[in-house]
Amino acid sequence: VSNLRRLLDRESVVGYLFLVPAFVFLVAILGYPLVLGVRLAFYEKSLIYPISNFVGLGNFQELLMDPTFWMAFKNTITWTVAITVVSIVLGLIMALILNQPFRGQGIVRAIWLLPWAIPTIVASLCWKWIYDPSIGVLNYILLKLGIIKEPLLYIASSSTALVSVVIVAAWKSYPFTMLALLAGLQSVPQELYEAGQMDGASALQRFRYITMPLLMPVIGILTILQFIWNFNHFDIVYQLTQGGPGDATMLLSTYVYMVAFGATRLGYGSAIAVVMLIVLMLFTVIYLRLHKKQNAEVSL
Amino acid sequence: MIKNRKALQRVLRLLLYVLILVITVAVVFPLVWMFLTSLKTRDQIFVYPPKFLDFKPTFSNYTQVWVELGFSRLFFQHNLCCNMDYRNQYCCGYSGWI
Repeated sequence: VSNLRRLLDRESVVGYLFLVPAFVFLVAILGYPLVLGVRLAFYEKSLIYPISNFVGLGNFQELLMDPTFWMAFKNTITWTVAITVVSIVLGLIMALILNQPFRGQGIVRAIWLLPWAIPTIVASLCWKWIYDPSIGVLNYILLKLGIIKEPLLYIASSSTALVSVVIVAAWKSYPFTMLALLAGLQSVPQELYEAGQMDGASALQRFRYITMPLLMPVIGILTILQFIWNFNHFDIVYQLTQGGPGDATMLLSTYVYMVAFGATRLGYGSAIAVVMLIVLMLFTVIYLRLHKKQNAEVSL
Repeated sequence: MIKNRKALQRVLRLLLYVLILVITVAVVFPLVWMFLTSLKTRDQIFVYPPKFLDFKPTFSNYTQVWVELGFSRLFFQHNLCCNMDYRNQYCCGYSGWI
């Protein structure tokens, strides 16, 4: 009893005891499915046939030979990079505009945030309607403005499908970057600009040498976050094209879904998911590094 | 020189407003279009060229959603989920802060 007493007197032990419930929860709802999923990747398991064979690295071997997988991998990279770049560039431009004082600023900010606030399914349906090749309004407007000569097929043609879904996803994700960058812009001390103006720096120079360096930490974190989110993205593509036409918009996430629940090949699907996990882990490590570095800088 | 500067500022200001307008239209258009479509009947939706404002708005879609789909019940359930999530975020916020 006295031993236990002494143990409990030590603050760290009590601290760990307090952590136990949360830890148990984490292991149960995060750890268990993760381990199960990774384990499945080494099995041949189907939802239709009662088989569950250990195949070792067989699933991964098949993966290397699977053209759809490589297509999905390529598409995912294109998709992720494109959305990340577009949403950050757009977000930066819009944040810079919102950082200027002008009339109706509050309303404009609220309107520009709208795409972020609506549910993804609503956004996808709305865009699907607009993209419709025969009665869609986008074709009509672009034809009227003379930007295109003949109607485009958007999500129905393999050459434009990926661009079309990227536009929707960028439209849905730029408000977050905009908001974060706006917060970053507003934290830049005004005195720096005044000092810059005193020393005869032009607006462009002030942007280059004052705004950009101070925004760089925010942009770094945003890049990594967007990368992780878009790499995982599933709903927009699934709702708009389901990976089609052909495999033109097939992403890793939709491919996992198609394989695991469409073809009910759980083992093979898990193998693809494991590949995704490895890539994402890489980026999470980078994110944590960046975050740590930034925190260290702040505490300085 | 100073006069030129002022004129330049005004032009820049005008450009800023034009830019804001263009971006706003581009960003909100899908939502506006969705809203307009919600006021159309089936026949008015499936026409080319699409009708922008020259149609007789109807609220029948809304009454249909409310009555036949039981929108109020769905809305209640949705809010229940949001409420739970809100509590969750609230607690997580504190634990993150600690």
